Amino acid sequence: MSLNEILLNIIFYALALTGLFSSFMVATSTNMVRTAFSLLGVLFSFAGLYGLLRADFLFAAQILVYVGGILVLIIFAIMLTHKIANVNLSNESTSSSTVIAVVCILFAVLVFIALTLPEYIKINQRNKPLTEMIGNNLLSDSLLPFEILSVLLLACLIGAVYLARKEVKE
Amino acid sequence: MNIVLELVKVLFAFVLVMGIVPLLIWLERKISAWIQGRVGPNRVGPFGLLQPLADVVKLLFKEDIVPTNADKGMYFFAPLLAMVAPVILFAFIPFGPDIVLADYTFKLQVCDFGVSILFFMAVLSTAVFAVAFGGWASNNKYSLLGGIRAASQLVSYELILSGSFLYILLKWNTLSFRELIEKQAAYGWTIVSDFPFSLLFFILFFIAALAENKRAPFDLPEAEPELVGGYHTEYSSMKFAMFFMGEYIAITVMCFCMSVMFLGGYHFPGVVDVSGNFLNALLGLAVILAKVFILIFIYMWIRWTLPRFRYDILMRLSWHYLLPLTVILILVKALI
Repeated sequence: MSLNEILLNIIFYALALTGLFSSFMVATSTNMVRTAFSLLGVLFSFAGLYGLLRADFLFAAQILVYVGGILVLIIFAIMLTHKIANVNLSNESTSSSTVIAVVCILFAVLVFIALTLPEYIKINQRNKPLTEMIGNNLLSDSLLPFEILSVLLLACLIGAVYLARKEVKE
Repeated sequence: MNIVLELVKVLFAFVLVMGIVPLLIWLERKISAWIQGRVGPNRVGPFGLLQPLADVVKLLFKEDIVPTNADKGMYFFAPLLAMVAPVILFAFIPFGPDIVLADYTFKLQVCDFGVSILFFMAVLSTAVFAVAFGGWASNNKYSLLGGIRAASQLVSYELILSGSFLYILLKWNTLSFRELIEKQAAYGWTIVSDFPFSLLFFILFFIAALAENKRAPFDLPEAEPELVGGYHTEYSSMKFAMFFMGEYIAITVMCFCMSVMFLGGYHFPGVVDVSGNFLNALLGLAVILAKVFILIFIYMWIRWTLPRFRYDILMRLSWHYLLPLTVILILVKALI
């Protein structure tokens, strides 16, 4: 193994372990803010894994959308609840035996898929940014699904605004 | 050999950042003194230049207090995040033109992704966590309020920043900082080559950058008359210093970003060729540093001139005026 490969392996295992540990914390922690905090670790380590696969767009989008967007919204939602001043803010639902059973089945399915996949996920060997390709593809070959998705998202947004709006009675 | 050169680059960028921060702290004190008709630090070293060093020694020897009911893990992690995120951003900044050695092109940029602007945006958006988590973990109402304010302020103004990045994409058709500078060298700096739009976007970006860096007049998260110290009320010693340094690093990197996006980066007509030798690279570094320091001076000038905004005005400014303006400008620019 060359020095490069050794380094990549070390980084991969560090990221994978961080991801596993943080996901475990997300699942077991009862404190809402601590859960969000652990989720930060999960999302970052997965972004790093995308980076290792040289999927540059996914790498950036993962951080931009999940860390910078969704996680911020989660924190926002937690912070704007009235119980926020209480440090021991907790979600009461803890894992029951049913949940553990479901998770075990899901895990088994995932392992099965991973083992039966014909080959490993291909690393982007071209050493060229993929973002341009993805962009071109979205606006040419996959234009229709892209547009349908955007309309769907727009519908979701309008629906959310409608639901959140206060009803004004005359 | 390659790995050694890469490490040298990383070290260079890191030392540059760490060297700029104390200088900025000194500058801030001198400029505030100058604007308020005082003398400013003048005892430690020539012109008080060693004052930041004395501050560091003081902060190192101060007692490090951890509130009893703080959430320990997050309380320790937040200052780290506050400093690491802006330092990472420096990896994307091109400091000068390439140096061509015998058989190796030495780029004055730590990592030259083709999509560095996207990464820059992504890492920039993580700035809010340090403040939000730090404020919450301190178990103090003032800190918490500061954290919440910071979270909503940063989220609101980030949209305007993203809008300006979009404009740069529309205008120059590239996601790479290096290419951006090369294109500006060929076709004129962004701020002059596309006059009404570029100036408007530059102003929008500047305002959003002020808010994003929590600088006055947008320093609501740490408004001392209302919130004591905001999110860092409970932080002392080196942990406070890390928040403080993180803030100055973020300011520096924002100014680097602005100079690359709008002011041609290390390019200056007549002085610096884009491709070149060692001397050229040094000149390029000097040019970009000069631009950055001018921007930082404007930052400080604004801080010591304008009073702090009220919170609702701050929010209204973003959502009612600046954001619609950004969206409309982008639409018009895209249609033309």
